[in-house]
Amino acid sequence: MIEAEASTSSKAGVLRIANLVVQAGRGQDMTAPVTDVSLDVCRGEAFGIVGESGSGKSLTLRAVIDLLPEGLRRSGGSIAVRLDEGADWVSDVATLRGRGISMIFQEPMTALNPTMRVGDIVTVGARAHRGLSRTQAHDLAVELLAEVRLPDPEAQVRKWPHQLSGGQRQRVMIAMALATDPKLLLCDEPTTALDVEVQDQILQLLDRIRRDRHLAVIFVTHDLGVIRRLCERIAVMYAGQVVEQGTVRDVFAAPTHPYTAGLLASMPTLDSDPAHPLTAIPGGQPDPRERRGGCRFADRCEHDQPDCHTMTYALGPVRGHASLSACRRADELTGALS
Amino acid sequence: MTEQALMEVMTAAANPRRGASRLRLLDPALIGAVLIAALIVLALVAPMVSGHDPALNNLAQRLQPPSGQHWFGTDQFGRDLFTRVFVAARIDLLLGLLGALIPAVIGIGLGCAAGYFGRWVGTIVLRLADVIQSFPNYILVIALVLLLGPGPKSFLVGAAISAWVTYARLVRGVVLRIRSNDYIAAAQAAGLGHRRVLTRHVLPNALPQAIVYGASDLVLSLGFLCSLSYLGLGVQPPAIEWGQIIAEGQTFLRTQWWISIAPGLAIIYVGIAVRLIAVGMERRTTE
Repeated sequence: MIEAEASTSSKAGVLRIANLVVQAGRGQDMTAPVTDVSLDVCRGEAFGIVGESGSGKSLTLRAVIDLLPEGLRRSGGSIAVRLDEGADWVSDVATLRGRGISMIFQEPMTALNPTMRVGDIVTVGARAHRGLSRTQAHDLAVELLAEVRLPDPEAQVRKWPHQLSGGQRQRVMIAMALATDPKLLLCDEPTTALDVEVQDQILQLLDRIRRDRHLAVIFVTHDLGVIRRLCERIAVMYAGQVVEQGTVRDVFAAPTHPYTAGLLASMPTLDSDPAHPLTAIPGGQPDPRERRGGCRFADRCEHDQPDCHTMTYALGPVRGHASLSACRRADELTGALS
Repeated sequence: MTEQALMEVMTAAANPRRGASRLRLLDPALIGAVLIAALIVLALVAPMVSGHDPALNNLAQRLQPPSGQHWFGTDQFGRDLFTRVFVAARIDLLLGLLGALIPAVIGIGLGCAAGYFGRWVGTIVLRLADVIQSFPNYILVIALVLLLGPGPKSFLVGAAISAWVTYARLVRGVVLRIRSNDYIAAAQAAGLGHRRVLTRHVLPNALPQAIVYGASDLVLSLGFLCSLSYLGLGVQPPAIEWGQIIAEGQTFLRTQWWISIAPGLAIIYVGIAVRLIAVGMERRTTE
């Protein structure tokens, strides 16, 4: 814990989320798909948010550029972004879209406007903000398409999205995100919709770009393998909450929350023992409308005690570990979990 | 590999006419366009072709049946109907087009706004559409004629007020679907304002379907114009217009049927030609 704090404060913070709450509906129908999420991301860092569908991980990411789907709103907490060391923290994040923050989407088939040519798609943001001339925009597009390793970028610029494969489209989308020279790149399941081989290429590309450009990147995914490969730190989300947070090395080696332990046990690795089948976590996430007090994971937890169902416990330090955990039994359980 | 094959199939489907040039001649949109172009040319040169002045009275030649000298016959003032029907096409095509274009612009604009912004903007547009639709078009325009007087202005204002509703409902539906695509979120994430997102990302994707409907609406607009003129509320003499010629010939329908038949056929001709264009465009957008 102390070690982790020291290592973050030595780097420049780019994003600070404190006690974020995202709500849907009003009055009686009100639900909160995201409650009390706090994260810090540093310059040049790869941060992973992992969780199952409906855990609130994508909403947390979208809240960072104020692009929540209709009907959802940020109702609490604060988000602040600082693009340059020494600059002020900006809390009106919508103004930073295309001016320091970019986003990459999950579905390459629907994320490129079918009525625009690739060159125009790539430079859409750059032209809007920098008033590039036609030739400048063209040159920028060619340069970026080369950076994302699309062969023959001069020819790609004139193509339409339907002429590209899924992997090529994803590269175009990455080029589009880079066109505005971001400091913070948000990736919403960037490889989920792709073939396994293509996934691998795109991940390598994103990792290389992050190092070359010294970008802060947030990966939202349900794929622990992606996080393990690319990220330095991880937040595990469950039912709208962060249940565990720490460095990838610590969390993978010694999880401090039963949910993380369950996720890791359900993930195949090269050295998995074929004799021990992968285990699944029984049950599903509680519906946000039917949440009661107590730990949200308690109903599915194999270590639950009566208190777990009534007493809430926030993310906090664990004895002997650097990670933060939201399990009230973390101190006594860590031996059993890893 | 499968992805590559799939893209090839999709590219081929997007260009179905490639290498099938003999089908090009059967493209309904092309046939329709040729028919309309022929009508426009004749509308411009008809007086020269026939050698008659469309407005010149010649009582000696009144109510002549179609002949070598008067191809479509003459009306009760002895005016050459061939020349009159084609000269009338100038006004009918122009006003018919405007009667579809003006509501199309209004309806597409309001539909885009309603679909994109949703919430109260959508509610206002939909309620407004309900109010307009609760009045029959003709009643609305007849009320306008009382207000503005008979003439093309009343027709255009009437069309603008009533016909945008269908465009708006259609485009709103299309935009609701478009808005859920990630490319809209991607454009917003790139920092584009609502105006840019709407004009460059939403509108171009919604337009094809609005245009296909617009082609059908053009026929409705022309029919509306001719009906009003027939009732004496639309285009006024001395301007020449099909509905007005039909009304003039009505008295002689039992004996001199050709007076009303020629402009009637002209309306049907335009209807078929425009419908062909619509069918051709529909095929292109659905393929």
